Amino acid sequence: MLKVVGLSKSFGGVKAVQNCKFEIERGSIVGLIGPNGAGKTTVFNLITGFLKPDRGNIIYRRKNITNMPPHKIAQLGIGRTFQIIRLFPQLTVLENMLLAIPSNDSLFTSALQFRVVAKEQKENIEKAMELLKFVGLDIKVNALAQNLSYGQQKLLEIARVLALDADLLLLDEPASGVNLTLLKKIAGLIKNMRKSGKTILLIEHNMDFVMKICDKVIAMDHGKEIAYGTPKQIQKNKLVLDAYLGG
Amino acid sequence: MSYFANILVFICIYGILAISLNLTIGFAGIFNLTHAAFFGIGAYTSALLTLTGVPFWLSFICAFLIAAIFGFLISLPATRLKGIYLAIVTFGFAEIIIAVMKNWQGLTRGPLGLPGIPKASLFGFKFASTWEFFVLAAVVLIITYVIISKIVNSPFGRTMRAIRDDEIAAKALGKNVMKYKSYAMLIGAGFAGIAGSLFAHYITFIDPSSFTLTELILMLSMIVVGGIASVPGALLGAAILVILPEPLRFLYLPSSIVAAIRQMLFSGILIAMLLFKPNGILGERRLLLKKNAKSSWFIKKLWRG
Ligand SMILES: Nc1ncnc2c1ncn2[C@@H]1O[C@H](COP(=O)(O)OP(=O)(O)OP(=O)(O)O)[C@@H](O)[C@H]1O
Ligand SMILES: [Mg+2]
Repeated sequence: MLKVVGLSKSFGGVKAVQNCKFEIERGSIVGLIGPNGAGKTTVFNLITGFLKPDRGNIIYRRKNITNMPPHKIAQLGIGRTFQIIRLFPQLTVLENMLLAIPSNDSLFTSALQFRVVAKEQKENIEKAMELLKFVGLDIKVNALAQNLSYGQQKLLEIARVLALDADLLLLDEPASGVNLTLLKKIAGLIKNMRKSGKTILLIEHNMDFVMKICDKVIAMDHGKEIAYGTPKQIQKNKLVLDAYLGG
Repeated sequence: MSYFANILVFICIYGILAISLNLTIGFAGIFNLTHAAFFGIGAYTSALLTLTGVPFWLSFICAFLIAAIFGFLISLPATRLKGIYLAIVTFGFAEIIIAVMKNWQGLTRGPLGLPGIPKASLFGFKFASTWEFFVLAAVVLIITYVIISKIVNSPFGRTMRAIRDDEIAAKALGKNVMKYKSYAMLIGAGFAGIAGSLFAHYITFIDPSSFTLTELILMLSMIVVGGIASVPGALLGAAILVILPEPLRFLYLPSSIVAAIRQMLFSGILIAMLLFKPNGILGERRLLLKKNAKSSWFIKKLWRG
């Protein structure tokens, strides 16, 4: 589904990602772990086009997407969430959802409000409501995103990326800073996503969470990939243990 | 009472300017300081064309098109910048446009201005009296109001507001941010252009001084007072700021003093609004920040982009 070959990126002297390579199979949940500053978020930014790699290629469904602009990559079916939540704060929960659902928002058709647009709009609202119910935010439809609690904002960002109808989802710390109940709920949501045919690559620091839901884990340290395997293998890997203990 | 008709005409012209400025600043979040210059481009385009014999309706349409083209061109570099940097660049463009108006004397007669611009006329009917012209201006205002309201409430407008809120998130959802911003600038500039056309064919004399920084500040004050990201707010702001300095006329002071008092009045209102009601009288309620927030969204946008 996604293949990354020899990916490198430096910021001045900082080699954030060095010669990274991995492959993600369709329908799997893959965890990307590593200490703070290992380069995980940078890998996400490279895949989604927000950063241009210095070297290397990113292949998505046999298509080379290296150097494509972010919106094109999103349109090809790669959705992402952000480590620091990025909602549209002054828009409502429903509007946040509607923005993700692929629809006709070109100036002329939508401003003239043809019947087609109105009909499409109605269908999209139904779809948005369904997803909001799925994450339990249907009671907040008309609230402004900025007035949601932290946990609710996390859920909305997840619901929004689902609305995008992408096949590959990159989730940057989807469960950071939430309580145990919500953590379990988010784990359930991610498992459900896979059931509905999505492929997921996620960054997470909570090892229990990673061990429970991931099929495969990629471990990074200092911009380099140091291990790849099943959660059990990773747990015992000496390099990974050293990296986390600051060896 | 053509005195009142005159005030109403100016409310219409400034209403169109404020509504279109609000589209780019309030809804699309592009801190565009070129608006007064687009107003001038429309005025000069329309005046010069009619002076060479082109009928008013055609000059009016050309005023829209030429201003819109400039809006689009300026959006190309401008949409890559944010906040104060964008403000500086768009302001620089405005200054260049004014400099061209002042110095391309073969075309514009420079600071001498263009006198004798024909009054507006349509299908042989001449909008000669102030009341007649008011009817024309009001129709153009209503059309502007309806079109821009439709745009901001459409899915296109929603995407525009989303880009204003968070460009990166919008890109991650597959939105071509540049395209939306360019459209917002293009439409905003086009409507400023038709306001310019109305202005030229109402006053019948234009010179570059009508399109400078002072005018821009007036337009900005209108949306700050009336309401950022609100179409009715922009119109209300225009009405308030056109009417407010009127009593000064009856004080029979020397005109240089009146001009200075006007400036002080506008600046005072602007500061008072930013302090006490930063999102304007009708500013989208949703734009109000959480209760404990200290500065307005508008100010933050200007500084941080
Ligand atoms: N835009 C940038 N400019 C300069 N340096 C950057 C930039 N983005 C990341 N870095 C640097 O690259 C390195 C990797 O950062 P990255 O955000 O990818 O880490 P991470 O693995 O996601 O860490 P965390 O777990 O703390 O989120 C860090 O040293 C960081 O300071
Ligand atoms: Mg990170």
